[in-house]
Amino acid sequence: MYSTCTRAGVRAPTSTDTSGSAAFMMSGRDVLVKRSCLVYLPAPSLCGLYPPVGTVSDQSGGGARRNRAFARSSSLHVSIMDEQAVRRAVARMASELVEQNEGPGNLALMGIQRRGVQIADLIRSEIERAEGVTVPSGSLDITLYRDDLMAIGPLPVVGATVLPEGGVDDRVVVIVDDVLFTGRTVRAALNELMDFGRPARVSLCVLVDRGEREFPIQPNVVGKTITVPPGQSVEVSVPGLDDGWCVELVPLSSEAVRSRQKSSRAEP
Amino acid sequence: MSEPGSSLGKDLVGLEGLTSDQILTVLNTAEPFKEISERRIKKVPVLRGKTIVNLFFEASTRTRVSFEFAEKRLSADTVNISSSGSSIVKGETLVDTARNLEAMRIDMVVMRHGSSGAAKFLAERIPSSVINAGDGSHEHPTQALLDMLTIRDHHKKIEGLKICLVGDILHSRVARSNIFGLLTLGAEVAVCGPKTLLPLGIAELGVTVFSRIEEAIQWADVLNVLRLQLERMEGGFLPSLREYNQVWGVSRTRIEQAPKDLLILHPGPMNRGVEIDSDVADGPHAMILQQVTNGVAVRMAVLYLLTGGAPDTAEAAKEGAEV
Repeated sequence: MYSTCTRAGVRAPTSTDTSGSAAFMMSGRDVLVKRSCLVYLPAPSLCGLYPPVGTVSDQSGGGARRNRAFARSSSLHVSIMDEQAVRRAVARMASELVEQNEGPGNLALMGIQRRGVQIADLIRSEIERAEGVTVPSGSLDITLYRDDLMAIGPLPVVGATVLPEGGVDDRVVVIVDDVLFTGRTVRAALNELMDFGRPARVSLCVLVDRGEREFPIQPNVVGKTITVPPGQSVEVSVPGLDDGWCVELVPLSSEAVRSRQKSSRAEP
Repeated sequence: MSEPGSSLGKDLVGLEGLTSDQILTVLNTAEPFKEISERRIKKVPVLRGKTIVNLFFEASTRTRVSFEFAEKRLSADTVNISSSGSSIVKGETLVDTARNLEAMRIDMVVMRHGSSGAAKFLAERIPSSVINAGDGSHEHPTQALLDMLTIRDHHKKIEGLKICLVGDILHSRVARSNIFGLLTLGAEVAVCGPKTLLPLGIAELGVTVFSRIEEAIQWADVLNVLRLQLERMEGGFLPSLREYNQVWGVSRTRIEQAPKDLLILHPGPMNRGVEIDSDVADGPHAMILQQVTNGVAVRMAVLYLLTGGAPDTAEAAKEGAEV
């Protein structure tokens, strides 16, 4: 189940290039094992951050813009959940949601753009399958509520925000996202949600919780909790936007590492 | 001005010289902003703490109110200045007025001015972003953008459509912005109006000229009926308004002859019974109120884009460091 994806394109390890050896160790069986492997690597610290595995600056052409397809073919991706694992986790999340709220009657799902929307759709069809009830759902785009919008300069494309049929008032609104990290996205989503009305309760449901919160925010339902080694990131792939369901550990792009160093500001 | 992405740069002076990418970026960004005006709380915090001055040297209701709503719905702080009631009547120059405002730390100026080129003049002299809300008979970019958004809402595309501007082309900044924008997006553009109200050499911009309204109606998918700018017509351009209506007016009997489902736009304010008859203006083909609704969304998009950079590079950055 845990496997190393594409190896092609990674240079052979040299004395100055730790990415190759890290890549070798990354084929271990567990994330935590992988992390401990990384910790013992010789530390060519980039202001406290390890170089991203498999991303060597001369390889990516300096400030080359990150491209998912390119990154996938030219660097290491460690699979954490395959499609079956995602579906099992989502089925459990759906039943936990129904259980916690004593039935699906008052639920409304709000997926956060992008990728939270697809997970919300999957949860909705799981609830439909198990309970025979179609839960109203919508989507939230938090771009205009980001706390770093003026700091990041270029502005992200704004996606669609759609309210669930019947609005959010007096409902149990479930915010659904792919990865919970700093909590900033959820903070923005909560603020946006409050502009739409007054839900009876707001609940948070994420596929992956990777910890390291910067805000006092806790999820109610989690698919999988993982610890991410420095210099790496979690990437969730969903059908429609990507090739299909999977969760992978990927090296942070050199660009992202740089931007993290520049300002300690974290992505939401 | 046009960088690799689709950034608008510092200012929006006109649509002339913008790439189709840049124009489409504004139209695409306007789409999600439409929904904000339908919310119960019509406000998002994106321009919180930004100060915008609406500097209107010419009369305006629609454009000024539309800009002001757009600014307020994005949480900007706004100040309105009109030429009467300000020190402009005391003889202060445009640049001095702007520099004094600048000294109070503003971020953006939305300006309407009676002289063509005023927006560019100001944009070159102050560090704040300048948005042209109409300068003389030069350009009125946000009006053309909202016209294009309305056309695209209906036809789902702009490229290949036949759009005819009818009436007073000579005095119309809306016409120029529409011609530049629509041609850039690949539409076919025509103008139609009395010879006295067509600028010399208009065909050199790449537009067809129709000398009869009936021909234009046979040809077009969209008629953009322009206002007869009576306040600028002291030079005897027309024998009489009644004659204008008889020969050039868009009436129900005329549009019933159209072979296609004709869309009627008008930038307002309308001279009912002159360039457009009431039964057309209130009829099913007219998109006039839709244009006003779209105007707020387009202006929100422009304000939003001018405070940042190109969305596509940002998208890459967002993708690169998700979560």
